[in-house]
Amino acid sequence: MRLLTHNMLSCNIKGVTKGFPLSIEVQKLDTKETDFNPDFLRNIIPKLEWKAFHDAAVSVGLNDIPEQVDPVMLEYTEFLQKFHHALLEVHLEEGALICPETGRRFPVTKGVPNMLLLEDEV
Amino acid sequence: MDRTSSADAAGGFIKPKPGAEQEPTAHLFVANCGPAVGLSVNTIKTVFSAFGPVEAVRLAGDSGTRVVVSFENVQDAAAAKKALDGQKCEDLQGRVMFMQFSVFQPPVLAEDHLPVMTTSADCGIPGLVLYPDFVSEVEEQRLLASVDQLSWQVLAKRRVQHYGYEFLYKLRNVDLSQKLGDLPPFVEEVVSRLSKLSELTESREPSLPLDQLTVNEYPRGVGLSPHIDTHSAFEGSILSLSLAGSCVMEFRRYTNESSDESGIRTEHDKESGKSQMERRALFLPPRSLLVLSDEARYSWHHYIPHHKIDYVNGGVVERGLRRVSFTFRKVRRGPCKCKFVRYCDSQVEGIPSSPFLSNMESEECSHSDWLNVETMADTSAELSEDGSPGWNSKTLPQTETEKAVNEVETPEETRQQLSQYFSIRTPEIEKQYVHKVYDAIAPHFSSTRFAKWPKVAAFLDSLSPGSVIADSGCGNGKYLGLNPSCFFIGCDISPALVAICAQRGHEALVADALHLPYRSGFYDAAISIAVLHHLSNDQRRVRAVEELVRVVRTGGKVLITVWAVEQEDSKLVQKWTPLQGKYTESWVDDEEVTSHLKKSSSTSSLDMIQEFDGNAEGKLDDEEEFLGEREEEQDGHRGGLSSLAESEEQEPSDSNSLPAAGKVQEPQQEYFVPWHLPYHRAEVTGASVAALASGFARKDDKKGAVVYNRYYHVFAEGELERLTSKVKGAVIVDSFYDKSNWCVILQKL
Repeated sequence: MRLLTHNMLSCNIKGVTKGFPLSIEVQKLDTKETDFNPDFLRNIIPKLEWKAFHDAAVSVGLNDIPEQVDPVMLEYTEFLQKFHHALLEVHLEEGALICPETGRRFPVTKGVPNMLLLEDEV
Repeated sequence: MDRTSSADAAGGFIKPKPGAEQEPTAHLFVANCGPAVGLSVNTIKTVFSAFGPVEAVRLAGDSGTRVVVSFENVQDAAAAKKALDGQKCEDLQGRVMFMQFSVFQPPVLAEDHLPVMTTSADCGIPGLVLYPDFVSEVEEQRLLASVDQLSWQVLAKRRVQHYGYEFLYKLRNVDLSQKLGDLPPFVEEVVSRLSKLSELTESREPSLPLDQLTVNEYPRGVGLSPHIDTHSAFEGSILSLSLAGSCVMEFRRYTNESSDESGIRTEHDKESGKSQMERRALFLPPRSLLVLSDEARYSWHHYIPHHKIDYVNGGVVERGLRRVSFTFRKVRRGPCKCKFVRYCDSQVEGIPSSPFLSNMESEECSHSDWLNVETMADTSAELSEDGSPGWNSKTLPQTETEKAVNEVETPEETRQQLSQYFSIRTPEIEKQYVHKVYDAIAPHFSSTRFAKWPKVAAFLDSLSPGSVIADSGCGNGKYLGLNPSCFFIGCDISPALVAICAQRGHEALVADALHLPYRSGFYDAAISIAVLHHLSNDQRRVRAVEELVRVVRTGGKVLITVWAVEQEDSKLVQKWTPLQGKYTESWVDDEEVTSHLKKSSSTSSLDMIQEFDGNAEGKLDDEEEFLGEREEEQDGHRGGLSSLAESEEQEPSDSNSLPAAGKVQEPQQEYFVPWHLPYHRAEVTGASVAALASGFARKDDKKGAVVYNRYYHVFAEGELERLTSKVKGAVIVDSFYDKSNWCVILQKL
């Protein structure tokens, strides 16, 4: 699971009003090289919840993502590279995602989050 | 990006210490320069060549922002450094580069210090044997000349020839029914010598006669992703003759890989947090023969790094212009019964044949293969009859999910929501006849699913570059990544299918299409391909559409396709088992479902249900591409179809064998659609045995397959439009019928 995916995920258990962002419990990370595509990176920024992305990056040990993003930064290749790496190349292989409201733990196994809800959670 | 060079550089060049007094060398370590900042290796090489001949430009490390430029002459490197270091370079986008001389030190940094052995005994892997000089130079030249006269099949990075049986990369298996012929005469002598090897004559499982040969030509720098040859494809030993060039082959075993089948980590795993990898490296000189038997063949991944040079015994060995391997094998007839169960596709469901499958696939299934999808689909259809690809077992996907979910304590407050949402919880019919079946047939199903449907491709192609797309119910992920300028995320309720997506390098997760775990309004588009017809009541189908609309942004589009009642090939419908009665009401009550099934099958679930699948054309299984006979709609609507047509065509021709009430005008939209899992894939698995014993699946001896039934609600004309128009906040911008599917495109308001 990439951090881009993490930024889309939300705990939608019935009754939960603030299921985003899920906190990340890291057991194992992996890095997989991905083609660098500055245009994609620029396009995706407005969609991201930046604070959540920043916090997620910190939780996987990446401390070079600024807390706030400024459009000017998109002109800086160095920034885009760090952003690219954090967004697309670092994978949570083993661990869990935890709902900020209920503490419900969604396991991540072999890079795959299991977001299935129990019957009484829907 | 040139990964090969990256590997070389990482292994061979010392990163200089900043500021240290430096003796000039021919190699310049250049920072702030590389593909990641928009400068290709070729561009860099051109610019530096102005100072003298450049032997190579290599990436230094993985960042893509540092390179090592190697000149042929030290003085040229010095001149380049003097001219460019710290200066703005107009030829390279005005970048300011920082340079130091780098020292080439092969032995020190070679391959993470993994020593390269020159004898198989030193590797200490049971079943691994290397025979140096197995063929003479004269024989080598003769063999090479023979294959060079013949035509090659071109893969992404290498060329191959297959003899005896073709190895189908998409399936990672052979098709037993498609024998190409005997092994060619030019290998006769080699085969005769191979056949006398003790590894073959004295092995526990027969390795003779060798009846399959794959010739691979690897250009310099091309390697092979780590993999274990599919157990179910070949039996006995695997023999590989290296000709023309050498390489280092690495063997890897994951000692703590305990989660193979279940996907659930063991306690031990959790503690260590990662699996341990054992590695051994062996130098394969030209004309040597490598024999892989037993443990070496069944449980060690073999891997050839993508390098142009190898480090052996402290020295550097340049790989030749090419390496040609002749790999001899014996095609397996019947399931593998090896003791290395966790690596065995005959014995365990959905095992990855490689932890790096995505690499494999990208190598071996280039995009150009898509042009052949029709052909491939045909082949696979035959295969599914005749059996070949993955197998599967009940193994655990279902159980596994439950386990995973049950590990979690459910907060009390969420439990209280139960009654309100009772009506959309998953009915038993779907759990049993959709989720459980797909988990059970996942690898086999997946191996027959790669034809991309043009209408879906067209929809995906129409999206702006940079779009983010959710594929809800993504199956084996065949549409993920179809538009390379977009980012795809797939989800499916079947963990076994999602595992296949993940192995292929796709971003995918396990989730229910009725409860998408996404925040609202994120996606630019969403697709639901051949999913809604597996939902068993209108409420659930509407809910699934609502979810698709919810997760896309305003203006975002949703493509939905479902099987139509109106199948282009009406014979297909005759292979389906109509379910009794109409299902206008929610099928949410377990007892109701059960009783319903009982009505149509008397006592023990499915055994008594007749199936109309006398003729099993290859097409039988191919999902999105067909549809059925026309019937009417549940809720009394006629869906805009002429009643004449209905009264004339309505009943599937053989439906008199149904126990149903048999009203001729009754529309038939509820079916069990069979999936044939070939015996030799199924028999060794406890899963199919259990499924048979419980009546969940049945045997078809005539076809030699275990038959699973999948639940379908096929859509009548107009039904999908009516359904989607119930969803607020979106409008239908297109709807059409194509290849036996009804389709709509919605746009969010």
